[in-house]
Amino acid sequence: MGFFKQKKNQPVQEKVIREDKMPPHQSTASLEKNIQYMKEELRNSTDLKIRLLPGNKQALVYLDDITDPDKMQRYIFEPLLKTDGDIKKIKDREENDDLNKAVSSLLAGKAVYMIEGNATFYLFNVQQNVTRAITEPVNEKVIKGSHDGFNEDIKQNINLIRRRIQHRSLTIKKLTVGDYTESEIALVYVEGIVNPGVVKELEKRVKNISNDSLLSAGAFSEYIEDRTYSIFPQFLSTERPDKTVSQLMEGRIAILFANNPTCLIAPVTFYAFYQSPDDYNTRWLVATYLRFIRLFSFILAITLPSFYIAVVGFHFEVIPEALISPVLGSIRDIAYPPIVEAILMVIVIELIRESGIRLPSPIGSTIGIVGGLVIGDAIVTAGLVSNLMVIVIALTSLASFVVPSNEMSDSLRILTFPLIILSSVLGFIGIAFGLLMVLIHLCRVESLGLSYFTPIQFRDLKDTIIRVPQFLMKRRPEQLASPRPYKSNELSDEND
Amino acid sequence: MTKSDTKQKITLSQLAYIFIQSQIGVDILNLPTVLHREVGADGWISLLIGGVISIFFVLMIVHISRCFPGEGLFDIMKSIFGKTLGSVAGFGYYVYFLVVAIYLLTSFGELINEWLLPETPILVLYALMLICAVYTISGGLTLIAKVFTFFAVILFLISVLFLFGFVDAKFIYMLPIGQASFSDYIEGIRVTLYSLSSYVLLLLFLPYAQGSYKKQTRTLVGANLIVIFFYLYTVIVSFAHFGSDQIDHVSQPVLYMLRTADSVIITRIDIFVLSLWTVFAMTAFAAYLYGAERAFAKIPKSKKKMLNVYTAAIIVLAVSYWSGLNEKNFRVIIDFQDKITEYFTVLIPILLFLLSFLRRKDKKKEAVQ
Repeated sequence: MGFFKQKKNQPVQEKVIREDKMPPHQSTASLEKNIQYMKEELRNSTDLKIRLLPGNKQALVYLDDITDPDKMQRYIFEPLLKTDGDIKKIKDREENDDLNKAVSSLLAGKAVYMIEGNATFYLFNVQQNVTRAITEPVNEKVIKGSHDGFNEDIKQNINLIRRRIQHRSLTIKKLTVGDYTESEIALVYVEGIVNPGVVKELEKRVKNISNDSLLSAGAFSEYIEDRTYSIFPQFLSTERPDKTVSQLMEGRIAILFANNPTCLIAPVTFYAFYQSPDDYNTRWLVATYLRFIRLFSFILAITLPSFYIAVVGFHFEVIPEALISPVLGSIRDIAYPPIVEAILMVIVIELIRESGIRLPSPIGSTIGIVGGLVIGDAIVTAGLVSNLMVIVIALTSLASFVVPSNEMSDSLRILTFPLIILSSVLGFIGIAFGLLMVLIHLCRVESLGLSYFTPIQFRDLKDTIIRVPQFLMKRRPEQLASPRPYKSNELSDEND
Repeated sequence: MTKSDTKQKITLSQLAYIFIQSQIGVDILNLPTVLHREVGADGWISLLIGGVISIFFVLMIVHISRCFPGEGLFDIMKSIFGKTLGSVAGFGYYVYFLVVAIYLLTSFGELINEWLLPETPILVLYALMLICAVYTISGGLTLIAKVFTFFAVILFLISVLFLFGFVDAKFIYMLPIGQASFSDYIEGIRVTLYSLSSYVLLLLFLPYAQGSYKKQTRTLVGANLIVIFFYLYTVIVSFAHFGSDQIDHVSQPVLYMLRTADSVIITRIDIFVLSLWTVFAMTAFAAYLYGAERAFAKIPKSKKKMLNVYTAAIIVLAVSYWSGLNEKNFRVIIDFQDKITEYFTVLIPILLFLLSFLRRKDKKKEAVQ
């Protein structure tokens, strides 16, 4: 296997040490030397400010852009005036003599106070908080229910969860990932409800991540997913605290990221992508009806174009008699075979969608009108695509947008392509084989070691395809193997 | 037992679904015609008798498995027949499973070629079928169990669609009862028993199944009853729909029956049913391919599981292609299958059952404990 053994020519790479694992570097009594060391370690960055205090015996070192001048005034200078310049009398200070620790504190937004002739220095937290107001997530709006959402500040996000679950068993475990970025992530779960094996597995996977940076929830999920090559998302992502909390109470784990409003939820099943917080806020019959609509939309989204192509290309006899002449009339004058039509139309819709995302909303709606009405009409009159195909593809993309989860809807849109190809080659049998493969694959996928797509059992029906009234949902999902399988104390010994 | 074996447990309901799905293959579409040719209007009676006999076989199989706890078909044969003879029998089963898989594949290809895709090269269908089956098997027992369980919905769906057959049904076609001769009945029972013969596969799944012996028996007999009722339902619908004059001339009576059925939204329900039937064909095929893979794993002590699956798949594909070339080759396969089926589905199970009383291992273990 010499073909693969070309590692010899690889460049030798220096190993990066994470900030929290830096070996200690003893500070000296000389102020100048200490400052010099810090300057070098920070690569002479210009935002490193060194403020020499009167007398040039003391210095305050900080990174200008991530510290708050107000806080510095309040926490350092004002108390300093009160205590006549004696730093040791100020409360809220940390003492240290490891210069590397000083550097990493600087990076975290702290100010370092140093005194000539003293190896000990003092750290003050004067970090500037940049937070966005709590707003409703744009991509997960609901009609009824709470309208708050996560933002980029992980503390605020945890606050939103803690406020909803006021119990001591809500556990938060913070870990850092990324050798350069040291991104903070928090695993949130309710001890006693969550399956401890799953938590262990997740922690193990997180600790195995080795990378310079971890910037997004999506990238993170690719590191710890069971099947990265699968088309289906194995983590549910949400920006809604209410959704997160309801999943936590089912016995799942939420993963929060610093500087990222997205929260990942695992382990999930396929059905979780079809549940919306709205479902639990409306009457159960209405919610069940909506679930049916979504299930129908799932089937529609992946099979409608291929079904149409199969009917037109192979099984014309399936169409009822009265419909044959309108269908024939619509496709007779089209130059291209149905598969080309379908792919053309899908591309048009994807273009409209993609361009709509990038543009600001006032122009975005214009694009929708231009794309939908003008192109849709013109493409038919030009004879490129048949009337029916426009209807079919438009319905398909509408159906794919019904899915409450964004990434699942993307997956569905990609899934239509292989089915289109199979159906244009083999007709219904092609669709049957395609769906068979998809379903076998779904049965194969796991989310954190638990099955992703369980065959529907009668008991699990209650919150998957239909939603029964709350008081009937006595059990937590079977799949999670929760140590507390029932949702309330009284019902524990009752069988359902 | 190794660690992976203990991990792969299947629940009782999964066991039942595996049994159901491995029994319903492509055969059932032809069964009414075949039965009618053999027994005449009394075909359904011989089906019923054959069904009852198959239940006895299921009971025997469960008993054999109980006598050798934790052992699959091939280990049991080695324990009973001794090492050499057991290995020979194991190889025999390898061939048998492969032949059944080939038969299922070719008859599915034939069916689709005849009904839906006359122009498509049959090899494409074989390849797709193999890909699906190999993908299922490669996931191990748990995946097989899950997939088979999931697709059980389709049995229900198809049963409902068959109701269309009752629209023009005349039950007077079933009369008079008891016209066929004794030898005709025997022939009909034989045909029935062969089409219900996947109980042999149960010996592969039973060691991994949860639940007590009693529960397993109950579940499997229940599953067998479901299949027998489905068969009976199919046969009676087609007999009542077509009548004695026509049924001998239509090879897939159920499909013809649905072809003429009129529904409001779509015409030609038969096409949908055929597409759905792909699932049954696939699951039955996958079950036998799994059997072949297990058998092969025991003979040369091959450790690489996927290699076994691929070898089995390639053999199946090659032979299926060869048999699809012309009618003569196809007959060779069918004749060969007819010849060996009796040994592997009737004689060896009975022999195993009788000998299992002598060499049972469960009693010994209890004595040691």
